[in-house]
Amino acid sequence: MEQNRFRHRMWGVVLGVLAAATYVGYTLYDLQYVRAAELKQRAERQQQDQVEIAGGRGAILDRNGRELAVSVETESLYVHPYRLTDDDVRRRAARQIAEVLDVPTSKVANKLKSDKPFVWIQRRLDPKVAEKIRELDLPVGPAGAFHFKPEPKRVYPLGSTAAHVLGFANIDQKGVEGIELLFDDLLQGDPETHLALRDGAGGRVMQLIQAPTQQPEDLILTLDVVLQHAVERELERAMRETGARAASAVLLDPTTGEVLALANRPTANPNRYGKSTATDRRNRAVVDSYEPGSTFKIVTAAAALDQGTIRPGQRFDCENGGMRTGGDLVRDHKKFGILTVSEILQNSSNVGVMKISRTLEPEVFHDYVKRFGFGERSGIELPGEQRGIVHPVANWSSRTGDTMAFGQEVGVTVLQMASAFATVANDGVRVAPRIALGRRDADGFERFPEPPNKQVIAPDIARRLSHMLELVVADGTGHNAAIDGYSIAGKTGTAQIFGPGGYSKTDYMASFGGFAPVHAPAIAGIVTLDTPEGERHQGGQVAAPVFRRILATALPHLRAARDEGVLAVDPNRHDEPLRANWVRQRTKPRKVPAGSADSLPDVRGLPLRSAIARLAASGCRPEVIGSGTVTAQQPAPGDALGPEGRCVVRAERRS
Amino acid sequence: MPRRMAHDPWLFFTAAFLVLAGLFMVGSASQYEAVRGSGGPAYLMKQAVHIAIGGIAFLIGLFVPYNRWNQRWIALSAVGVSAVLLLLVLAMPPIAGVHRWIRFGPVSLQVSELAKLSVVMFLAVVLSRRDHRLDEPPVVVSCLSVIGALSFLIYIEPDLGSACVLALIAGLMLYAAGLNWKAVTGLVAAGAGAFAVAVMISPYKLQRIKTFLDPEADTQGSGFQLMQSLIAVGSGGLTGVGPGQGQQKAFFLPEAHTDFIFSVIGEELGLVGTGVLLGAFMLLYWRGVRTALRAPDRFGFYLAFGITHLLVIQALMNMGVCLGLLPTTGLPLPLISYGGSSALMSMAALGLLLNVSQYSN
Repeated sequence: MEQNRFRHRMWGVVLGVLAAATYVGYTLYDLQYVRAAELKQRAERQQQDQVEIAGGRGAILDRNGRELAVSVETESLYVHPYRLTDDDVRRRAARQIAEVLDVPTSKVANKLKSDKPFVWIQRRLDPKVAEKIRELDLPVGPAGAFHFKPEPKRVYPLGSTAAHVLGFANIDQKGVEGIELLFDDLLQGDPETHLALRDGAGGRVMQLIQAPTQQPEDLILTLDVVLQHAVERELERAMRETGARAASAVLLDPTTGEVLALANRPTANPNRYGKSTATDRRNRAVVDSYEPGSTFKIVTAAAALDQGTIRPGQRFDCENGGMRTGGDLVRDHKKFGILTVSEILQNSSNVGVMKISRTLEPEVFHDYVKRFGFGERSGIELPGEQRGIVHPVANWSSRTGDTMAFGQEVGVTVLQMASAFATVANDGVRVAPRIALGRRDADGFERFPEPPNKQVIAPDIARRLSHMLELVVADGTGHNAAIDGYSIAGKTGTAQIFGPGGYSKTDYMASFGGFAPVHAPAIAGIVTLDTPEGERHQGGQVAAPVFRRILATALPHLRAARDEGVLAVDPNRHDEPLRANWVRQRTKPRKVPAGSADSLPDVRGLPLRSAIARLAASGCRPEVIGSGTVTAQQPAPGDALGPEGRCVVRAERRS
Repeated sequence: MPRRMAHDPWLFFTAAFLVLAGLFMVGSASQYEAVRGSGGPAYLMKQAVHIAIGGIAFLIGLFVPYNRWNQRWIALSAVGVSAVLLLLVLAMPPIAGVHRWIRFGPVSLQVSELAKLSVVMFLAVVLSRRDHRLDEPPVVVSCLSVIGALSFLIYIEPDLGSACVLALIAGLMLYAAGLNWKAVTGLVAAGAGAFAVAVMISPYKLQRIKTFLDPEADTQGSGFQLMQSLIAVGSGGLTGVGPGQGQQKAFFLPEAHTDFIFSVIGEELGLVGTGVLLGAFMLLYWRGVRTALRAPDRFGFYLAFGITHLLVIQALMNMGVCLGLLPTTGLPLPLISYGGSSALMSMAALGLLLNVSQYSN
């Protein structure tokens, strides 16, 4: 070939190209070898996100499996506004979505115009609404602007029922208050860990990298929705009728410590927790302490009886309605003369109970107060529980023992007071209250461990006190709590509320605590009303009727034994037998004594009261249907007792 | 004309490898784009069609003896048609804000690709006849006016990258042809000046240059693309994240299947992949230069020289952009990137180069 003179120039060009290629190669080495780790990290940071997605949330159920809190699947709608490039589409979308969601068009339009990469339009849509939006012919889907994200929503099917117990879980299904908060881990289970691969346009592709190791579990509460409803209903009515500022009630199963119902007023609907105030959501029964007033006299009486510093029939001079302590005059609401212990309780004499407390050493009295669970958290599975206030003896003034006797200078929670009544009801055994019964998952139901229990006062003392409290209702300040056909024990309380100017003359904490049926208590509890308005402000006037109405629903529901308000003995006569040979229906089955187990006496035709006494004497546990005279018994007379020593007696009134 | 021999197998297989690898990478890089757009492997299928059409052009180039193209009328009509189409494209409705494509129904043509090959052809024809008279003003002026006019038309599309490539390749051809140093110096100065003016009068181009100089300054704005490309390449490491496994193409990288396909390759195939690719282009370069040097005549030399540099310099520039060595341009990676015009012209050029190689010994 005829050669170009400038051939050598080509080598210059080649050299240049090779230099450029070498530079490119060096840069590749630098980026992909030297700086690879750093850039890789940077890539992962922008591409990936470990997103923890809360899985479903377990349900909260009552003891009979009624749903109190459940999670339902819903979908949330969000938008990538920058993908809406066409103004017409955007305007149309805003209009249509606003119409379906029933919100102003401008509100949606603003979201669609946002310069954020991701905007929620509406979270947790009703499934029907989500379906309507899907039908709108919007750019939905991986490549479109609109996306649906499945998100479970917490729903409380019974609205405000048991609101203070349940608390609530927020929009992210995180427990914030109440049981929802305390059992958040159990209900929530482990979250699913997803690797979210982000794209440069703000979209995300989710990839499950770790399935939850612990699935959410259901929580079973000790609550009974029927009783809870009754309590809620009656508190509502009491608030309306008495104009009280607030109200609380707690019902316990005295033998197990299980909370059957717990309610407060004011209340909130956890489905709309955002619209409630902290005051509404305050679980007063557990997080507030108050001066209990006269209901606390049961503790004073129990301590003195158990210590034997007083005898049941002992009489006290009630000083005609007033007595001095530490320079203050303690008054009774009436001028009482000589009263027995039982009468002191029946009439709620402050002077009388003060004298009873003076038979006790301060240390001993203080010890009993503590043993009844005051001044300590009960350990109930609810957040924010208060200890209450029990001053150590060293801090007592000369009048502390006297005033504590009738429930001043001591702070208690409603729950603690309910537990004290339950302790008396349960033969003096205090079972720590609890509200969580067990957990349930795919493998089945697992009961939580039983709460601890402790003998606070001797069983016979407890029974004797029970009968005194029965008289409070049968013939005392608590008569408004009486229910025909059931024996009710109880104690009223009307505590002046201590404020900045000392004890108020107008504001009272009216309460009534008690249990029923007296011989085999199925339920114990207390109702408190904070500052009822008007003349009628006494516990016996305003709280006892509430307690009665609650029990009128509760006792039949619990199939509690009906009895005729059986006063088997006069509690004032200490030499008479107590119901010592009664075996309680709900306590452990007692071994039937040999010899008496072979046959039942014939009690047909006898008055119910005598019949029960005779049956009890033979070691049997009578259950009573009806009232009046016994017409039938099962097992039949002469038959052998069953292993549990149970027998049923039917009674009718003869005209 | 010497005896015709077999074409250079190195050249052939390297080119074939690049085309097939390119098709594969387009399929991978476009998978997110495809979902967003037409919802299927549309880009892959389309690119396969492009390559099939490019294959016809390749075969024409391969089987028509190259000196048949050594005709004045061919040279003139090539640049003439390019100029007319470049004017026409300005009248077309813009696509994505620029006038780069002429549409005929389903077919769209990127005229700047045609113009690049046309200029190489034009200069090969002219220089093979006039390189001994390159110091005479009429020859230089006619060459420069053709180069200048086409570059300017491409620049106002706007497509500064392609305009630069065209001017650079043409300049190199003139230099290799023996343009005197005075003229070379003047040309370099004029080119640099024109480039400076072109950048200055356009705010977005200025921004790109600034970004290039300091990419970290604004990683959300204009530095974003560059940073994303570096992250993609770097995160590939030695062996890459695996074919099809790259994440950066998911809208982090702009134009992942065209301008930034090299970044996707870097991410998915790592230093091994980019090294092989760079090596393949260098192999192509070596065989291309060898073909030029051994070409039986000056036309063959200039043709092979121009084509080789057209392919390899574009490739290096594209890589340079992806690696942050050059400001962002709109240049495709020849034989690899998605795009019908690029595929057609690159494969036609390869056909011509292989044809020349048949006569090089």
